[in-house]
Amino acid sequence: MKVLVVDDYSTMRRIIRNLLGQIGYTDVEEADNGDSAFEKLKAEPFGLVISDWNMEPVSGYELLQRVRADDTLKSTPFIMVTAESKTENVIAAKKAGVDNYIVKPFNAATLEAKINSVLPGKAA
Amino acid sequence: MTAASRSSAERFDKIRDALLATEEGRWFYAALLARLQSQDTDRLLAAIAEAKDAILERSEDTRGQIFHAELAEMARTIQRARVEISQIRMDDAPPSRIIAATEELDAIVTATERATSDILSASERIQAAADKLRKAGAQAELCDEIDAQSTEIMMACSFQDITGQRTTKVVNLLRYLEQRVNSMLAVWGQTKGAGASDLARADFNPLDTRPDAHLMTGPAREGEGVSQDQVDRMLGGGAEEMAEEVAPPASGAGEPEPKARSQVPAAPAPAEPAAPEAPAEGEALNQDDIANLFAA
Repeated sequence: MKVLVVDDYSTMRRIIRNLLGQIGYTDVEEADNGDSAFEKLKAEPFGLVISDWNMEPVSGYELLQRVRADDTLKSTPFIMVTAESKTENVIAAKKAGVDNYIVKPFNAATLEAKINSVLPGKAA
Repeated sequence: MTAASRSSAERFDKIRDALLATEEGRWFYAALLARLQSQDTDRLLAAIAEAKDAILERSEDTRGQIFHAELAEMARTIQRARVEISQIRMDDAPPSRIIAATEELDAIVTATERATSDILSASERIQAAADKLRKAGAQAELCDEIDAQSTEIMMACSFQDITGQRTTKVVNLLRYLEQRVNSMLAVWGQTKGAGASDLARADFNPLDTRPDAHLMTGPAREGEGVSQDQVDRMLGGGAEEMAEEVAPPASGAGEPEPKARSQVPAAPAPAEPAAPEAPAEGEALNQDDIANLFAA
């Protein structure tokens, strides 16, 4: 399964990519904002999107809205990994159709648990 | 009561009694009383109105005086600010210092990013080494522990993302202040220098127009925001209802649980090197001086 990691910080993409590798997801693509991520999603199928929120020029929240509004992408599992930890953020993301939400800083166990919770057949 | 007033009262009572003895007299007495009461009320109302007008007039005067005093104070404050701003030399103007501060902050972000990248590379090499050791038949538990601790180091590097976002917030605020200061200088006749002109042209919009701009505030400070547990509960259902009950997380809530500490016995501490001769405070050292200090 191919995973798309979206974050404007290369450090964070690298960390997530590494963690994904450790839990068995080695087919990982990266994007540094919502716009380039959407292009990649339209170009080839991905089984999971892990996205930051705060990015220029297109945020992770806007990417989520675009994905959910797109007929071919709307069922793609989407996890938000972000430092935006205010209640209104979580509510907005949930309303927009996010599958799970991870608050930075996080650990490997949390990432694995959330991935398992959103992938079909993996939920505990 | 004097004799005269007593006599007057007695005469009044006699006449009143005589009036009240007949029907016509009772009507006259009642009508007279009503007329007198009406006149008294009119006089009383007129007196109250006069008093009210007098009070209001005085109040209006007081309000007007306060208003004038406030205006005068504002005018004095604006005048003082204007004088102070006009005395600012462009070389020392706040914008140039703000530019320096923002550059410093940018440098911090760049430096931490580079350092983080180095740490990540080292962690990856340690993990690769642990993997080689495992394949070479080394103790599996030890290899797993090395691997786990390398992951911990990697996760700790995510600080760079969070501090970077916080720094960006500060930089944006400083740039916003630059613009405001420049605007004031322009309004009050300060000739703009090159730096200020550059700033005025800077493509900075403090009002983010993205649809979720109002939600993007970056990492929450300690005591603010929600913890991962609270997020899980919100996503589990009833997010809107929970929004009211969610309290700020307790200090440390939401932080990743630390993994079991390493079982690897600690390596013996290296012997303390002999203390080198301390350089004088404030003395600049070149690379050779530093090398000598470490060699000593």
